[in-house]
Amino acid sequence: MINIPHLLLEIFNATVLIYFFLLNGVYLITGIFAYFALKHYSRNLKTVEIDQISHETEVPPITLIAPAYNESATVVDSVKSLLSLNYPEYDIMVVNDGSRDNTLEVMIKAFRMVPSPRTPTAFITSSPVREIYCSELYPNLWLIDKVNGGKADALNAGLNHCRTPLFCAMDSDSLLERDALSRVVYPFLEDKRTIAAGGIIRIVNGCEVKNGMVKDVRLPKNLLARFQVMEYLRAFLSGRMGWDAMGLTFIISGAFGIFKRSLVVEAGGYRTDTVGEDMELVVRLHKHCRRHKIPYRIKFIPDPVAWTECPESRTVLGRQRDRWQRGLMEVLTRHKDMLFNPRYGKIGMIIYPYFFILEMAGPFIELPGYITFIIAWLSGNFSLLYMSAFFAMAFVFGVALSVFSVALEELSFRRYARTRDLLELFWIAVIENFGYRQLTTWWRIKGAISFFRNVRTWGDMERKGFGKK
Amino acid sequence: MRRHIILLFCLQSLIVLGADPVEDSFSPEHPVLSIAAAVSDPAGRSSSASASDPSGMLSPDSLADSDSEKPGNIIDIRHLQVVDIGELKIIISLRSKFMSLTREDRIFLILLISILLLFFIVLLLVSAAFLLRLKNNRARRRFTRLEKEWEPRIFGILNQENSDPNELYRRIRSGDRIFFIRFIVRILRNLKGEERQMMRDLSQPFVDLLQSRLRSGKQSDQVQVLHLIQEVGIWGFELGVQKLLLHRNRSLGILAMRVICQPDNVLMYPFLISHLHRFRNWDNKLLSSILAEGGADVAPVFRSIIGDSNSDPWLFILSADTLRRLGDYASSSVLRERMSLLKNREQITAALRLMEKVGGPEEVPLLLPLLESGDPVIRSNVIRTVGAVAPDSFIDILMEALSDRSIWVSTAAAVALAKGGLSEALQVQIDTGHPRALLLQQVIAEYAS
Repeated sequence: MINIPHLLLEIFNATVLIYFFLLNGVYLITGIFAYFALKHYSRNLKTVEIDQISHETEVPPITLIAPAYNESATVVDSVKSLLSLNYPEYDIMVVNDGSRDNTLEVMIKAFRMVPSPRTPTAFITSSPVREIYCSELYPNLWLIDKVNGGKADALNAGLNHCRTPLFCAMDSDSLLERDALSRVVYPFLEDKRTIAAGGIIRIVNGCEVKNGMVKDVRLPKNLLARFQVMEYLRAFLSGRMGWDAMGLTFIISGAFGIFKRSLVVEAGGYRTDTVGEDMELVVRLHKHCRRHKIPYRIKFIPDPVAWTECPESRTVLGRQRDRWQRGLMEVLTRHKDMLFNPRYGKIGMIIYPYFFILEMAGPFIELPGYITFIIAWLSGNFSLLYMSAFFAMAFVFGVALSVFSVALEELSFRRYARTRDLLELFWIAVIENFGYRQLTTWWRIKGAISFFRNVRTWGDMERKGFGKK
Repeated sequence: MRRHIILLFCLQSLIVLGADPVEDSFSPEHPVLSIAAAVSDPAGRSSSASASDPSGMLSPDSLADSDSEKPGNIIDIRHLQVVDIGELKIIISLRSKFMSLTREDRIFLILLISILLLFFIVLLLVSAAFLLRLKNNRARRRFTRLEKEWEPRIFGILNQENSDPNELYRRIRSGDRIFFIRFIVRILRNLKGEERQMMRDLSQPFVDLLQSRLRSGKQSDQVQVLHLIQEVGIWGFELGVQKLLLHRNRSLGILAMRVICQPDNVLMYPFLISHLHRFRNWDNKLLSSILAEGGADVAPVFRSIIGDSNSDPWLFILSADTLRRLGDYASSSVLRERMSLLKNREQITAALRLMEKVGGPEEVPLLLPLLESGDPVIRSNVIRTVGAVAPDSFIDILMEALSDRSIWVSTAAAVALAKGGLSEALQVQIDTGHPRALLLQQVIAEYAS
């Protein structure tokens, strides 16, 4: 007679194993691609005269759209950093999305903003705009004060008032490096088909910040923030770089990405009914271009840096991860017609299935995996030694991937100049496997539950302000 | 030999891992555990026995201590072959042993080997990152030291306090020459006149090196050399630069193009233009800005392209944009003849933008039919051109364009009026409740002053 529970257990174990090998196989492949792409990029970088781009040649003007919601602690530093960018022609458009704190007052006072007329150039639906201000000190600095409607809504309001061919969507709590725009615009210069490009996001916690510029790069003191430094290195240098090398850029971070304005307007702007509006836009652009047979490319560039403040408390980090998972699920379920759809080429056949099967479903396999292993062991259905070997393998593989990302960082950009920081990164690569990874899995599960419960909120983020210990 | 050592290492590692006291998970017949139990004797007797026993068999005594409670775990040494490898003198053929394992045990063995392999990869990566860090730190320190050493001597030569460059050359080791070139380029960019010439002269002894690096150097070296040639002049290096223009790395090609596109290099433009299609995907504005670096002397080359009815539309656009940057007034008459024949939207736009810069009021009647175009990009460019060449004479057209269905055309008209000193006309429109009053206010605020 068939032992049903035993059979189910076997099936689940097999699923976990397949998931494990598939996921790590993909990580391995992207890592290998990332290595060659980074080498190629570093070599090419020497041929790019950033000074020439930012001063001598005619480059497309850009509007930086920075939605701000309760950002009074960081908004002035962020705007100062934006004002000192090394780029010939750009507008800064801070969109105060109905902040409940004094973001608006802080901006008006710090930059002497006065009401100024500005005609919309597009008419994407967004919450009503109360007033538009222009700075008396900096004619390229604008402030849109509008009724709260969420980040996507604020970006749409900014997009409606944008009149440059390119716009940069960013977070108002991010700091851009001086050359960031000159670097991120390069894909648009070297290939006319480029419709979007994103840069790398790094963690500013622990770094020394002066006048809105990162002066000294250091690892944060807070352990949670350190784990996130490692996560970001892995996600950007190894993950996105690898996917980009395969021509499969699927996400441009909402904290720093440049888009062709006309195409985004044509595609309908940002969707306001998702918390993953950055990813949703990129997926929709892929879809739009393929449907309308528009030749296009979307690029990830590893060295124009946007520095962002990461959460240092478990509650806030949990909220962020919950939102990320919800956003991912919202986007992937909305565009599920792309799954294994040859009409969308390798986007539909490779990257979408990867996100759908391995990333979205990840927590549903990982957490039950942990539990089932324990149940199986307790019920005598599984060998402790096998289990230990499996976990040891997962652990060593995880460490190898993280260490690989640190090595890629050392090979390319070497932002963490202290040897001690390098050592600590290696140590973080080891200890993040004990507790932190399981915690993120748990948060992702919670995010998935929130998705099924149709939760739509962003959740509050706490900001300490740049350079504050 | 290396493979054998790796196999041996794997086996030894398995022994260490397998020696974990979790026998319950294994059958008494578990071969891996058997090996582990047999060889992991703390005194190391079994290992030494296997190495020294000429018969290749372990004596039962040697195993008794290690696993006296499990007689079934005695290793069958016939599966092991003992072969000389240096001092270790052991090679173990695992194949037959592996095949005799159960499916589960094989998986387990593969898992263990994978863990070990990954562990080594981790160690390798950590070591590589550290070595890289050390190497980079050393290189940085060395370059700082060299710069400190060279700087006073170079400035001594520039100030004519010490006019013997040979002393400087003697201090430059062959491995540091490319770095020296980079150093010179950095200084050259900040110099003018006689000092610049002196620095150029200082780079003369490296001409041979530059030539050889241009031809067959590393890409990073070629970049440095191109930067220097950009500063010292292309003549003498033409062939090498031309070769790099055709390099499969287009970024390097663009750098070579920058080197070619310098004043006095007009003779190289025909070659450049014949290979310009390599950069067809690049941004036109970037390309034309580089092409215009050649100065007024290169204008006839592009004038002939826009005058040629058979020219490639893309090349026409690029040429028109280059001429616009050069402010080449002679091209307006050439363009006048071709204007009505242009059909391609990008070509018309490029021609209009050139006209905006170099045209006169006499060109306007030629442009007005284009206002009927359904394309707002063309209409707004016509309005811009009209506004730039004769705003006073065509106020009616500009005022009418304020109500165009496209916001971009209205903006172009409002800007043209404001720039032409006709803000009052805009103010009247605002006061009379023009539907685009907000836009007009914005334009007055931004341009009237």
